[in-house]
Amino acid sequence: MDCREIGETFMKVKIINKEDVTRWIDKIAEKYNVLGPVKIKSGDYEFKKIKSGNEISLDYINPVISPVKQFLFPSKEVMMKYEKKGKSVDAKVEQQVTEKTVLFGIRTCDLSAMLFLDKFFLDGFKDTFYELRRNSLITVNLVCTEPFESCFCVCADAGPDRKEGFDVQLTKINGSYVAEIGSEKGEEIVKIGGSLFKDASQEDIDKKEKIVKDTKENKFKMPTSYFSKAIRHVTANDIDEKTWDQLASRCVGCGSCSYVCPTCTCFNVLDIGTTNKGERVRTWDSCMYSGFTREVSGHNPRPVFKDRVKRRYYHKLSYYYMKKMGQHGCVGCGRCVIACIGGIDMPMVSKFIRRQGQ
Amino acid sequence: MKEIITICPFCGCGCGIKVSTDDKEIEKVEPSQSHLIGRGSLCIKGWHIVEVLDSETRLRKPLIKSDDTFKEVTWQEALSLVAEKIKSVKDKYNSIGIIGSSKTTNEENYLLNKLAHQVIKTNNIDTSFSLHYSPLLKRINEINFSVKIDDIQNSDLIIVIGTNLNVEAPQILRRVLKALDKGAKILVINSLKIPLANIAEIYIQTEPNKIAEAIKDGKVSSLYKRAKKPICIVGEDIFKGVNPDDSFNSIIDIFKDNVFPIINLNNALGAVAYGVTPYIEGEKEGMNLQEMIESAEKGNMECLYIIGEDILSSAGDYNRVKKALENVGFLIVQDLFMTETAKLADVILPVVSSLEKGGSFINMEGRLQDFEPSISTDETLKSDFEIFIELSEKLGVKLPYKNISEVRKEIEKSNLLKSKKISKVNISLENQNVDSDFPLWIKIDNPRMFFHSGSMLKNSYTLFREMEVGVVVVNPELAKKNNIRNNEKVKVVTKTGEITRNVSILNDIPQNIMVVTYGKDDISHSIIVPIGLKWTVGRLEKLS
Repeated sequence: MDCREIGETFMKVKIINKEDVTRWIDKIAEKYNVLGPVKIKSGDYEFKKIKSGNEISLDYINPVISPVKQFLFPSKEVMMKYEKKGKSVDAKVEQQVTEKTVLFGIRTCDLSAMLFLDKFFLDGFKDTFYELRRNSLITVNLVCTEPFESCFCVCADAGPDRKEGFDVQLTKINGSYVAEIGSEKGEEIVKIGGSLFKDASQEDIDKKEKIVKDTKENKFKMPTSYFSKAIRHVTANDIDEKTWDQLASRCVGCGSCSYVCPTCTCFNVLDIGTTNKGERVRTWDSCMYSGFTREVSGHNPRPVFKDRVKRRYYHKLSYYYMKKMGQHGCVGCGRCVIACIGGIDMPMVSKFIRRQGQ
Repeated sequence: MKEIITICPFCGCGCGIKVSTDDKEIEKVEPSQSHLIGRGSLCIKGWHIVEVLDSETRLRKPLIKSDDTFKEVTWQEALSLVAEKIKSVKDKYNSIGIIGSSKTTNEENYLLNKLAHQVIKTNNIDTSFSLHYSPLLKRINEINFSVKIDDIQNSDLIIVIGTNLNVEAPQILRRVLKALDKGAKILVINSLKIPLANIAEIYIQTEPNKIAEAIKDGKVSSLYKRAKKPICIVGEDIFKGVNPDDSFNSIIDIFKDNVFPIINLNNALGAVAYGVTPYIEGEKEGMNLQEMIESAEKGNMECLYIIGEDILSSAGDYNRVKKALENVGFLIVQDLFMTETAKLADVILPVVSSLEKGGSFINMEGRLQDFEPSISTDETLKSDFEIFIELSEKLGVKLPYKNISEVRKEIEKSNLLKSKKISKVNISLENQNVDSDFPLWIKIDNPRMFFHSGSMLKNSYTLFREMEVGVVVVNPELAKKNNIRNNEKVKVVTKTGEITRNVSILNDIPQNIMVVTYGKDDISHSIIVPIGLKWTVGRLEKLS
């Protein structure tokens, strides 16, 4: 069954001891490819293939690149290889058959972003490269109870928990995790845990709801409800030029915003190699680059940063795109806050737009 | 898959790049969040470093030129020829020169110094730092590198003189903007309206040769006196400007320890610190880069060994430098790519990039950062380190180092910047001024994806795609006066040469300044500036 069809019928709630999570992961890893957050030498975190639950730390800092985006839509992937042999050309589509993979411990914002990617890559025209990986993917997402400084998922309605769209959703309550099962795939991996799981009591479920409510109301360090006014102004197209001028003056055109954004989907396709041998690759692209829109004639409809910054935020916030995608293009993961050199991140832009004309 | 944090080989900020690799191929590159400089961010150059490494155009085998074409040879042949040629030079003091790189590691720089002084026995060793940053080099013993990058965001007054930080040093811009958002006063002094001028509290527009006067302005000094933690950021429009010495001397005399110089070369300080310079106290002074070029012009340079530097593209005065290089008896070039300089070489030694080796770099704030190799080396390539060791042996001296860590143990003691052992630097740059023949100021403006000579950029598809066609940007009034329309092809003439460019008319630019931008796959801009500089004087001519 397509995992995007969310079955309330699946919704079962279980509970597992904190200590038993490691054993559960061990068991899943016996059957499936498991990727989880591992602390590497430098102090950064990275979603890596793990053999045992001991290797991961669930209190990790979200990596700058979304592990979900990197898995489903890698920064660089080979689509086709070609080689000239005599007079004929050997061309082969590179379809990577992916083994069943569990992304263990992703944060809820990244799960919300995945549902956005699904809509882009699978609705209507199906991107087969994406589809293959997506079908092989099972997610276990964490409900964050201690948001980081740059987090604002609550404003984007993309966290800290989800009511649907997950396979298994974990929320820490005291010494245990409440595990909500949201799909057949989710049920499959909870079954692997066997007796490690017990049915959750109503009290456990209430506790979970209380923790989520408390997190939403009290734990976010950034002011909440960013978007409504920004969306209104962007949609009405009544933002003064000075605001865009000021924002663009801070831009260095690095493209980090697009690369780290878990809902950004733009890519470039190019052939690398010689006329005799080479490969066709797809790489991430960024709307902050002039080469992204420059036409063959040399004319560029968005020649300066101001045009590109403006366009980016129109794409993220205007009603037109919200209607098309079912949500605005931001899940509040806060990665742009970390990666943007000029500080032109979603909270800052929303603030600029709100303040304009005041 | 393993993750390695390496240091970005482009500008002098020194961001940490997290590389995910299986040792053979790099899966992805991302900014390291735990790294103190980048803190989760990278500029466009850093993000695309892998494209450069993977490029089909990387040199893979040593090349020897015969009958004007390059032939692939073995390392044995190439290094033997190099050693033989170096040995054959009799007058080592006047006829041999070594140009090191601001991109090789500290350990390699230390070895290169030994190779020059102890093995080849010449003091003619330098990098392009002396060419582009001589005002800073002259007073480098006075700069204690006491302002750190992270101090900038806690400053209450930041004076940004002669630098477009959006391009020259993005990580410094990041700190300036953080300070701005916290309420600091930003004061921009520049001849051109850089992006930061749009959001700074005060913008002082000056003539390119009157920057020193602007600093002495009453408003600036009263703000400076009142500030608690003032910082003065100085960039390339000063060091490579029209009166570099006068401007920089005034700046350092006034702002002293609060000066933060932007050094837009990855390991320029490391090269100076570990002896790739002719100015070492207690040693006989050798030729600097400019003097080596002059010596080659006169036909005195029998052998020139250039490491990781495409000086033909980056030095300026292209025609003159080209003639000089063609005049060199035997030219050795050590590089990753077939650069413009490499094309003139007699021997080319292909090397590995910084991601394929370990070592350490010193960034512009003086921070030493070490790194391990991210991927293993192509067997046909050698690192600069290995080449220096093998070459020394062929020249009859066995340098006593087996690996990088053995060198690293020694180098800490010999940091010339720390011990303040840079001797007096005798480079004087003439002031340039407009006159009736050359009535306009000209700035050569490099785009954000461009680094130094551009040899890396050309080999990355994303960075290369970002390049626009080179133009000359002029004010509408100037265009009108010369009867020139937008997009019209014109001639830009300076004392060193002339080029043709299409005109781009822009309101924001002063009437007496023209900006010549770098073009895609085009280094013609370097024809019209004097060696080492980014500013000059010239005129605009309509093509008949």
